[in-house]
Amino acid sequence: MSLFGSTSSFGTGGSGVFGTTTTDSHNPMKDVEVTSPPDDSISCLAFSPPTMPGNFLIAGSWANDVRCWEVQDNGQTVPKAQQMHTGPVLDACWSDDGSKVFTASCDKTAKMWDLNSNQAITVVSVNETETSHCNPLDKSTQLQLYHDRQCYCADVVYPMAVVATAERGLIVYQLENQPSEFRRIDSPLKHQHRCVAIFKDKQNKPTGFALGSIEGRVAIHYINPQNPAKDNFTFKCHRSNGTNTTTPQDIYAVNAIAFHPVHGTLATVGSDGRFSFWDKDARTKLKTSEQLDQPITACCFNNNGNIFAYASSYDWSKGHEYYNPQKKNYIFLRNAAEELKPRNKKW
Amino acid sequence: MDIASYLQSFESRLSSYVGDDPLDPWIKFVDFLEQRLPAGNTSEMCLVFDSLVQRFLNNERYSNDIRYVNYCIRCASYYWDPVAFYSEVFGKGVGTRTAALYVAWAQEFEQRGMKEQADAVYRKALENQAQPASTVLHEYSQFSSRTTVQPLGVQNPLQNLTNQMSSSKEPLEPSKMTWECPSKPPAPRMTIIVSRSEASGSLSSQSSSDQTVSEYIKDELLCDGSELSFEEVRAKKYFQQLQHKKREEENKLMERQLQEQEERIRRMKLSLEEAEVMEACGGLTEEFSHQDGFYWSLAKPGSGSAGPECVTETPVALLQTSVTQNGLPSSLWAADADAPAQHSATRCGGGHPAESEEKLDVSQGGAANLSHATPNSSLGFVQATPSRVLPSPTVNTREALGVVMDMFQAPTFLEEPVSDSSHLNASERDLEDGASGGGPLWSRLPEVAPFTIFQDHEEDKENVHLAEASADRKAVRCLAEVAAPKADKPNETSQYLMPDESTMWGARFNPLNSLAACPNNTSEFALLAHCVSTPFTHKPLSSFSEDQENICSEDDASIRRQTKRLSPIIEQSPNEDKASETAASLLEPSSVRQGTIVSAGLASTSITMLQPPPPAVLSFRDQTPAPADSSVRSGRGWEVHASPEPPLQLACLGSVKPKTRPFTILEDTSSSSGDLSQVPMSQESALQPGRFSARSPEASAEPDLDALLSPLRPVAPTKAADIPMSPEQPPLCADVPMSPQQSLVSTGDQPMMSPDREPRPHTAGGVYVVPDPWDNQLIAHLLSRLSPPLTSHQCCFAWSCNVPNISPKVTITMGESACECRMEKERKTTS
Repeated sequence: MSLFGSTSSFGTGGSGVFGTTTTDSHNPMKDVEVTSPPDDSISCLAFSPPTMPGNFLIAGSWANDVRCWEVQDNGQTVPKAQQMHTGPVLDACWSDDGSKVFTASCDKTAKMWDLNSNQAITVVSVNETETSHCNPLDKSTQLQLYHDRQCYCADVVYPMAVVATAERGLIVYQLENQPSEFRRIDSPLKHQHRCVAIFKDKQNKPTGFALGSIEGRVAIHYINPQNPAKDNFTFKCHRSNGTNTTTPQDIYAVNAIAFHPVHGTLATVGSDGRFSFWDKDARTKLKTSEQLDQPITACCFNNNGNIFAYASSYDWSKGHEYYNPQKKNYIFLRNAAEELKPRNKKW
Repeated sequence: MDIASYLQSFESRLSSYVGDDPLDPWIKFVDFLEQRLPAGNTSEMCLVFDSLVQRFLNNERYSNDIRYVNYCIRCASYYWDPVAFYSEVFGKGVGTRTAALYVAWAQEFEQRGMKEQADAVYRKALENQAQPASTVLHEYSQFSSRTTVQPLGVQNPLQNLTNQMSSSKEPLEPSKMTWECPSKPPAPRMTIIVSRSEASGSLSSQSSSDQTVSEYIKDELLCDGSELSFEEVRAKKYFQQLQHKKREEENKLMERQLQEQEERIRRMKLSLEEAEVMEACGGLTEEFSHQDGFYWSLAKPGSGSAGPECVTETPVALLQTSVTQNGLPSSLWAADADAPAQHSATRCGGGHPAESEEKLDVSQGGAANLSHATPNSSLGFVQATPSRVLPSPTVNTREALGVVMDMFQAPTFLEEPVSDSSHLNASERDLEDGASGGGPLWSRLPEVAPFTIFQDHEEDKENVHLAEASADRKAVRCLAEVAAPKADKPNETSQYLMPDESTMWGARFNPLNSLAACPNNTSEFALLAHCVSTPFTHKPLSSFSEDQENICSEDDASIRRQTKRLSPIIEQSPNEDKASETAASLLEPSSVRQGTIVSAGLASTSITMLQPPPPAVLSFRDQTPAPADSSVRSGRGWEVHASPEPPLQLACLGSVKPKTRPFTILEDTSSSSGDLSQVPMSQESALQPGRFSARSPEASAEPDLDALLSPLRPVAPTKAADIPMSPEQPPLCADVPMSPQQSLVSTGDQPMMSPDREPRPHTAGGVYVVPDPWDNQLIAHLLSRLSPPLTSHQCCFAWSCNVPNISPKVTITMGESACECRMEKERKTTS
């Protein structure tokens, strides 16, 4: 099936989006496909900030490109622009005003892509052998973080930045005034960090982060917990046979975590090809999706939390042998307004 | 009934339990078992505790239930590594706020001597506000005291209390722990936040709960004691592939390059083969070209030799033939050189030798300028020799070139001839030759020009001594030889070019005409000469055609100007093909031509026709402003003066006469003083014009030539400069006017005169060095002097009829014409 064909079906009508998709497992959730998805694994997704009218989605991929779509209200997506790196794009994010996109790539550079002029400027060039997954981009200012340890992932919500490093290291930075290291934390997770996402309190200030592990577990960690023993916790996710102890449990990596900008609930996506919605406060699972035929490598919410975007593509979790370049990559859009509403605490 | 069976039956009955406290039956069960079992037989109780702990491990309700925590502590005692058990249980959130667990945990550490960890656990308990806090504080203080100093007995009871408090059912373990705690000072407080986390300890969970299989490439992530992220692994692969691709591409490129190289080699081989095949042809062609050049020179001398005759006889024909541009430029050059050449011619009168010499001369001319070879003497020889003696033409050409270069910025002339030559095949050949060989010479000449002036003087002096001059000529020749290759070529060409020489002569005549037209402005002369030359080169008729003439004149002017400027450049570029080549080549050929022409003209002049000198005169006039040339010529002029009169009689005589004339002129110019001496060029030119005029008359004498010449003639008259010269020196003037008037005889005389005139300039030139030949004032001054003769000469009428194109320039008053010439030059320069 061609991407354009699917898009054309979307074009016929917003209602048809869910109905027209085929029944194969690439889109079991019957979500809206984004037109002209990247040709290789999608490494990152980001919606435009609320300062921009409309919704624009950018996605970086291993095809060295960063693409930008406009997501219309009916779910239709219109490709808008594309910018190339010389290496796979690992992460991308928007500037606060939405005029620029920062991208980080395996080519050891970070670029600032001015969407107005469609010009990309290399703002950072890293000599390190590995640029890794870190997103060196701040909301308004760009922050380049250097670490003495291998960096797996990072997230920035001004004025806080969290970097998850190798050897279970966690470094918290404060970015006000002179960015400085605020705290080093022993990871609550045993295994390799794979994703981290900062969440905010009700005053909309960053108070903690959710840390995803390579082995199906997510830790919720408050920087200054009122009750550390109780507030911080971990939960299992993206595992098969979660309740059945008789058979070995398949553990999948948590590829991405995204917090709902309104409800404070979070979504996790894993190598198992599922996405799950959680209520960290109620410590309950809100929803788990059907399994896609490919891992989900990235996810994000738009600025008002109505759209949940997730990308279906191979995450290399099983190595080169399982990589099928012929397999299509998809970006899906899902209405997230209702499903992520928090529940009352059970207990 | 062992404990396992009890446990099994108990668990089977658990399902039936209905109540809000699932732990309660377990408590009763444990109590039951402990009552039933013998006191020492506690080993099997681990099964019960283990299952109990596991059952409620994930139940937050009992996480901090003291009963459950105590069971955990008791369970831990059965483990080989209680610390791990504690950490795991703690990681599950069990006992995070229960003092008993922390105490037991810390005591376990303390028991193992791990004070710091124990201290950390206490502090963790404090931070997590473990209850009862008093227990934690008490135990911690006790621990601190133990670690620092010997434990205080007072605290023991409290410790017991805490033990009881913490583990209501198992007070033993804490108490045990307390005992063995070594004393250590409390470590500085560190904020280590331990929250429920996976990392706290999962041995039990893993072992007890579920078997898990990591659905990812765990092995591939291991790297140097750390782990790689998927992205890193993928990036590795990615870059590996990139490198692989690069290698492949490189290999491909290498292969391609190899193939290309092979192809190149093959091509080279083929080309070489072809080249081998072609070499004969190519060499021949080249030879031809060179030969052409030689022919030119040769032809020139030949023509010169014949030329004198032709000049006298067929100046018109020459003019017509001179239509060929080559002829014209050559004529110009010749004219320039002619003056000296005439002198020489008058002296030597050898035309043919001059040809060979002319070749040399051309080179020598440049060399002469450079070397200070006596151009005058050489010129004189040339004149005599161009047709007669080889050396003389060379000398003449040298001198002429030098003078032309200096005064007229020979390059222009050269260029003109080049352009003209371009039109003509022969001219082209010459150009090519000149470009190859002559170009440098020419370029040298122009550069030399300033020096040439001095040289000229010297040369002039030498010229005075013709024999000496000849010696100098030889030296010059050597120099010329150095530069000579071109000259050689010209020589070769000269033979072929014999007709061309005639054309050259004609060109000379044309320049004469032009000179006549614009006596004041040397540039105009040059232009005119070019025009004339061009038309000649093209073909006499066509060239004569007004359009062509106009074009040619324009082109010539532009070329002349360019050439003048180019002259320095020419040195560099002369060899260059096309424009540069053309210009340079033109110049060179022109030089060659000039040399040839000069020789020819000289010869002709010496013989009968003095026409070649006239162009020289024209050029000289232009040069007159430039003292250096004039000076050189002046010297010649002296000689010429001697000869000028003779010219009529003999070339030598004629040459002598011209010298005399130059003297007169010099006087005039000399009145211009040193300028004249230096300017002699101008004077010579003036004289030459007169000669030209004389020639022109000669040409006119010949019907065809007359038509052509007539225009030229008018030029001569227009060359008031000549006239003024003549006026100053009545004989000269007489000669000049005579020449125009007396076309035939006078012409012959005049050419002679012109060379003579050149010598005259020497006389004057020695005195005067004109810094700026183009100086308006100087020119105006000279022109003003000259003007009257022009006006006096009514020959202008004839001009208009014959050569309309030339006429416009000619028609302009002397001053104006000069201005125009300047303007043109400026335009050229600007352009």
